[in-house]
Amino acid sequence: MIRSVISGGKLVRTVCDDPREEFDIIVAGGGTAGAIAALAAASRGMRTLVLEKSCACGGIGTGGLVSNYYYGIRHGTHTEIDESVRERERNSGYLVRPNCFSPELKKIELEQRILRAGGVIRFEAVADAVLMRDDSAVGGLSWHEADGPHSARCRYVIDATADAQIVFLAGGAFRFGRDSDGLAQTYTLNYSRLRNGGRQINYGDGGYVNPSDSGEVTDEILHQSALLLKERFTPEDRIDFLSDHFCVREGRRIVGEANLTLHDVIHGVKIPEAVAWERSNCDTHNLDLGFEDDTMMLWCVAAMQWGRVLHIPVPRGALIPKGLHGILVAGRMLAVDHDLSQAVRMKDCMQFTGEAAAVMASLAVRMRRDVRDVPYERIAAELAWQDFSGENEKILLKHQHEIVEGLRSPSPGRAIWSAYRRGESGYLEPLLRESGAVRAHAAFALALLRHPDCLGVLRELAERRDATLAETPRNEPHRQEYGAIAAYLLGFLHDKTSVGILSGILRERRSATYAVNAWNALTRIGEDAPELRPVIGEVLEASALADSPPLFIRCFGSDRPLGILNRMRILTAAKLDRWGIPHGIHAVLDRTELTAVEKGIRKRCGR
Amino acid sequence: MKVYEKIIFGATCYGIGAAWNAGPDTLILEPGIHPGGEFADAFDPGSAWNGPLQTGEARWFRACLEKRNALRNGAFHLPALIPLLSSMILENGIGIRLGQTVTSAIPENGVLRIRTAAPEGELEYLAFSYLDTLSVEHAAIRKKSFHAAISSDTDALPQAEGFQRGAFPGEGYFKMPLETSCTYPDARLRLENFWRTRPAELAAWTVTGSAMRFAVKLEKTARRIAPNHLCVFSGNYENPAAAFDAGVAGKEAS
Repeated sequence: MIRSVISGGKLVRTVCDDPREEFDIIVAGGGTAGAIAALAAASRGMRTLVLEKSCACGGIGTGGLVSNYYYGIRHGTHTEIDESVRERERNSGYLVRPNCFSPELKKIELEQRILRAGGVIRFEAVADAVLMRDDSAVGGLSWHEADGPHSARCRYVIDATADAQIVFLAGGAFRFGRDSDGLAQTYTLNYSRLRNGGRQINYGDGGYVNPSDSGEVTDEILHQSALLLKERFTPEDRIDFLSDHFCVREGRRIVGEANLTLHDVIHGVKIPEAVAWERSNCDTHNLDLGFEDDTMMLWCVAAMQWGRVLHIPVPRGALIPKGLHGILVAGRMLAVDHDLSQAVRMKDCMQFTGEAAAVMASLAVRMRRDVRDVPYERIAAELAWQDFSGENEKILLKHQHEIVEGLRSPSPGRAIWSAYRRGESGYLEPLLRESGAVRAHAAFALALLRHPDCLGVLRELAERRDATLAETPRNEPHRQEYGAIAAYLLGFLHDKTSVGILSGILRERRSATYAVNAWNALTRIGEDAPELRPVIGEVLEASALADSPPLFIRCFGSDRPLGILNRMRILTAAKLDRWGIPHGIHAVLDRTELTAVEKGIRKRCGR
Repeated sequence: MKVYEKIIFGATCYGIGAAWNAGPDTLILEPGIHPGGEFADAFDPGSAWNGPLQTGEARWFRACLEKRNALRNGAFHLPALIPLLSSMILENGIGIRLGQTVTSAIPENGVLRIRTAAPEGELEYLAFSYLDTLSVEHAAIRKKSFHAAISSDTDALPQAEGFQRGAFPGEGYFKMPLETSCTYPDARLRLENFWRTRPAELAAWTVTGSAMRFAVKLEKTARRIAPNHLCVFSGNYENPAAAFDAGVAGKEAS
């Protein structure tokens, strides 16, 4: 066999002996998806091994203390397990928080079921190399335990490491983060605490991190942990213990045989061969939304649909790494884009992807075929979920009068999106001449349709920093003032006339939201209009060099301020370099103590 | 490639102590995410906190815990350990990488080539000496136990074998002794069964969490593998301050 690793950043493959031990399926990672995958595979008679680096199964849902569910579809083996956990909780004397299951008892339920089904579990085992049959066929794993190295052959590997570590070691392709600055979603470092007489889990966000960069991970974890140090610990408000799981929402995402995007989901594109369904809103925790792409900004900000619950099919191909054989993934590293990864990561669905991967791998082993060649009907028959196709289209308002009525209301989001999807503008234009918020709502809808008649209203809204906030189903912190939305949309429409307005917004730094949206808009206009680059470049540089007022966002669910000035400096410097405009930002950055995350962005920007 | 003076496996209390005065040519590699995990993750609040300490650094460390109300009359508020050690590492500029498991340390031309399994894949380091403060050789285990954090609205924790108070009312630990061959699934199952049928005087106490690793004591604290390769098991010390003290002092055995 061939031992495949990434060593010093390079793919290294060397010939090695065949291991003696053999399994049908090896599951790398016994966490949220992996534990269910191992159970589902062993229950189907597969000789199954699961390797878990911690000392327990269940991942974020047990060791990570996330012991409740956020939306999702209650379907599959994991729902039976949760019911058994409920039974176990009775008279157990274990802590059970309201509306949660006991993470401790779920650890036991998972491992006992895997063991009863004949599965083998190796805890405190870290996979360190992939064994390949040839250039593209995975045929086993090697791993490290306290007593040294181990290896085994198998017919299929299910990579449930959350960061596609096995796909990575096998030389597979993956993606990470968003396009603008390469950052993914924010993480949390959960802990159990006693507060106000009750036991709670702290889920407050910490900031950004690349979980596959141990430098960034180290920097973030140490700083986050140090924040918990108190001048004086008190019995009334204290920590019980810290989770040993770093709760990361997004890591590496594979390039799959099918790649799912938020754009496709919200535009009603038919997605064939679903093997699992997610049900969630596009739950971004990133409050610097202006750094997200247009799909996210149009959906979450301009159409105010952050809280809209979507039904998202996960196609079979999203579990199959492109160009590799004998391997599937389960969990958050599915082949979805960064936008959609903010929805397709909830525990119900992630557990179910474990079951789906196990079904696919088991059928492939039994039929002695590549998983791509297993008839889809066989897979679907074993998974037997309800089909939610077409569910997302129900949010669309069908008739013009409904859309107009919606645009006249204080909660116009659904109407704005419906107008955009309907694709006609004639009936919207008269609304621009009315008074009140309907003008703004019509302008937003027309902006999505790239109709130039909206520009006057958008400029007005941005100029006066219109502070209106629409009503949305959840009135979430992602809502943006109309002035900030208008600033973003002026950039989306490449409106050269608004450079003065946007420059004013960027200079004044009314808030991080305004500043990021104006920065986004100005750089886009500059991209489109080289003649304006000197003017825009001067504004961008001045803004990047100014230390005050401070520029930060609050992390979602916590009060932690997260500075974004250095990030804007780095991105501005890269942009001005590309435009060939001399500037003094690098000199400032060279003198600044950057965080590991900021250094990572700078490196990606070529410094 | 940079050659480190010393690479330390384990951000343990001993390991951090050993790196404390070592300067920038020392690097700690830790497989987990918690400094002091041999106590904090094992839910082991330690014992004999009032014992003598050799070094000023360790006396300062213990005084820090007392000043912050985390060490009261010899009882320890264990969750304070990770924040304090994290803060100490940052303030002292100790070189450290979390999430890296050392898979081999091989002598080569007068140095050691140390390989790790890391999120980035396989990484290599060179060092003149290697100090392993974490690894457990199964055959060398003298004592093994599995601990649970327990809590109550009352403070009536029995003064019985296996129960230990934390620093605050209603904060305690249950230490379940095990044979050395016991696995995690067996340990968790035993804990569950014990707690379900626990004595009446424990009825008000609940298990808030079970340990994230076994608490183990080895036959010998220190073992020299080669002149430049030493193993000192930090978990063998009675408490975090004692382990830190020994690390600072470079003491190899207790």
